[in-house]
Amino acid sequence: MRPDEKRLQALISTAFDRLPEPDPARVKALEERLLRRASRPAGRERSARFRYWWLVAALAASGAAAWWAGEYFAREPKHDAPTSFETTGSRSYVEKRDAERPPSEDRQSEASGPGRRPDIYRREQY
Amino acid sequence: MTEPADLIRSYCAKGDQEAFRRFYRAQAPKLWKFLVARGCPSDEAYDLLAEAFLRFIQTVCRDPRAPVALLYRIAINLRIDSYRRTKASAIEAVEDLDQLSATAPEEPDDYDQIRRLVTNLPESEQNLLLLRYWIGFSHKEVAEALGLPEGTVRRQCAEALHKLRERWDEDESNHAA
Repeated sequence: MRPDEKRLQALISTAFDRLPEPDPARVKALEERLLRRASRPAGRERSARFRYWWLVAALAASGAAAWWAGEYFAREPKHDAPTSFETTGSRSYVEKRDAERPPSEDRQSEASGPGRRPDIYRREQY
Repeated sequence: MTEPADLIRSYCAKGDQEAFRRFYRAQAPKLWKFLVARGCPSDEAYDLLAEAFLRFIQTVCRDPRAPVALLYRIAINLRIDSYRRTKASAIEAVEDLDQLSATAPEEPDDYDQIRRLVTNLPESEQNLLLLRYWIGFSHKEVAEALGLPEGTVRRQCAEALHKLRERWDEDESNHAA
């Protein structure tokens, strides 16, 4: 006769419960072996070890970040040193002198006549 | 009686070996029988039992809320690996179970028939039915042990029972013919 669901569930439970039991000596031997291994719960040991690894990893990461930042800023382009005018708003003595110098002085030294180059060497006239 | 989860919590928190021993004694014989029922030869079942408990010790303290489901999950995965390694056929597995049953005391035909019908179901359905109706897991625990959603476990359990009833009918009609 076809069993209903309840009967089927009960049959499954009883049928498999009736399988032979394991050998108690072998189960006991395994128990002793396991208890030696279980003397320190692995999860706790492991989590403590992982905590240290996280610390080491964090230190390594911060060291790497600092090194990278140092490299990055060292490679930044250097600006020319600002003139005293740029920094203080006033000109230095040399800059003032050059600015106030009359343009004729420059021309005299640069050329002996208009449109000509300055004479470096001139043949003697007898 | 102390719950398995309480025993394991005590073991993980205080390293209580006595709690672990009680957990082992409560679970080991049934887990061995489960492995045999799943088609594992009896000698290999001892090896898998040892391996399952060793892996259990290494992982349970990370989350000791459902230790029994975790233990069965480990054992099922080990059984699958071992099955793939040895490439044992399903026929061999059933024969082994039949040999074991033959050593059991005389019993009604119904038990023999239901064992045969269950062991001829697909692997996933065998796991579902044995964990739910023999080991006595709740749907949630079965879901944890098999890594499935709880709703899926409920639906698949109902389907597996329905299939079992149909096969029972076919079996009966074959015998009658």
